[in-house]
Amino acid sequence: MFAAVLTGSDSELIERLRRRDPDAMSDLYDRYGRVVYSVILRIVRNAAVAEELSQEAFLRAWNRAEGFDADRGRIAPWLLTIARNRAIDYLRSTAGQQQANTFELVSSERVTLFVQTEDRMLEQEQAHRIRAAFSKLNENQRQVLELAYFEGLSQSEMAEKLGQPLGTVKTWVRTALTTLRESFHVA
Amino acid sequence: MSPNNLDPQDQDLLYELFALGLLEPEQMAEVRARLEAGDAEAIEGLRHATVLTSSLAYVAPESKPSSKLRRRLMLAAGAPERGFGWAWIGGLAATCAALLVITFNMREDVGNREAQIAQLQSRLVASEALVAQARDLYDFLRQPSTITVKFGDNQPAPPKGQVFLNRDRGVLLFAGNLPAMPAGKIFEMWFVPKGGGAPIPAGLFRAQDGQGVHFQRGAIDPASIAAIAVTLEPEAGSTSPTLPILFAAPVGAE
Repeated sequence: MFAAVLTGSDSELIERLRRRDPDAMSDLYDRYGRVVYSVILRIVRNAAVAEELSQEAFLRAWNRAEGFDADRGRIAPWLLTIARNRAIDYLRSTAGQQQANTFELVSSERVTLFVQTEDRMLEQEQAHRIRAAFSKLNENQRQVLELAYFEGLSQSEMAEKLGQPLGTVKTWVRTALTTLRESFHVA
Repeated sequence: MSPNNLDPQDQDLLYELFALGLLEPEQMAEVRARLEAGDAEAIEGLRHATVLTSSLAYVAPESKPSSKLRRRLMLAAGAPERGFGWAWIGGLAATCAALLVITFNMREDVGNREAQIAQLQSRLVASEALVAQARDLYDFLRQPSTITVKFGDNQPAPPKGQVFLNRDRGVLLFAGNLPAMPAGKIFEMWFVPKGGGAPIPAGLFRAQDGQGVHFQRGAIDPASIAAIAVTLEPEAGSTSPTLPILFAAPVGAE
């Protein structure tokens, strides 16, 4: 389970990452290595490529950690955003596509975006909640979220792939996100 | 904030849709521009949305990367490979244990083979001794000067056999129908001198299944011997025969 590694204090780890304490990199990997690799593998579906991209994601975090606020920063969302961006970039580059309207610009990984909100959930709890919330979606709603998150498709691309009207896809997406948000933040 | 052409129903989910790249290109660009400009509302909205959207990573089936990834990463980051020190010690210990087992097995195998070789060498020595003894007896028997004496013929169930005497080599006894040897007893051969002197001890021997062979080496004078006798004696042997005499082969009879 991912949850097994998602414990411990982010603030202490962030402080050590900012000091470039060599052991902090080991701790960062031990805490998040499996979930980072798993999400990248789910996207690129190639173990060797997933390992390359995982390495890139961790090194990117290692080299940019000094901007983190040790008291309020949250590593997991930031690291997972970097990981997904690297994997989606890879998918698009192998497909010969330009970066489109995805949230994968360098600015999307700015550390100032990843601070603690009023939801101070541990990653362990977060993983549990998202899975529970995801299980409440119907098949169509799950499918569009997976196409968006793991394949980086726009709503128009999803409509084309699924052979559904754009309006239908938008409804599925909207309903799915609303359900997730309500379950995730209120649970 | 309300980007151009945004469906009013999507307003509430603006930042989640942005984070997932699900807005139209011009809407994406507008939100991005506001973020770059440091729009506090946009930044706070996106902070909140990314908590949810990044959590979708946990929906991915869990997979385990190879141990190589960790090593490569630590190397690339210039970080120490934690656990490596213990790993190589563990590996070394395992290797040493394996070598010890192999060495022990080899030593045991070598030991077994050495024991087999020693056993074979012992059998060879025994065989060579038997061959030498057979050659010696053959040489003894084919000597023209060897005298042959038979005994026990025409008796109901007595010991019987042959005695060969050679002046230069000694006396060879072949006996059959010997009685079983009681515990602590052994057969002893005697030279019974002519003229009534005391019998002279001529060696101890054992029998198997009533068959006994004894070769008493040394020069003798057949003319001085009246008979070759055999008795049962204590295992240490006796200086004078214990009655009864099992048989006596008269030398002068041949």
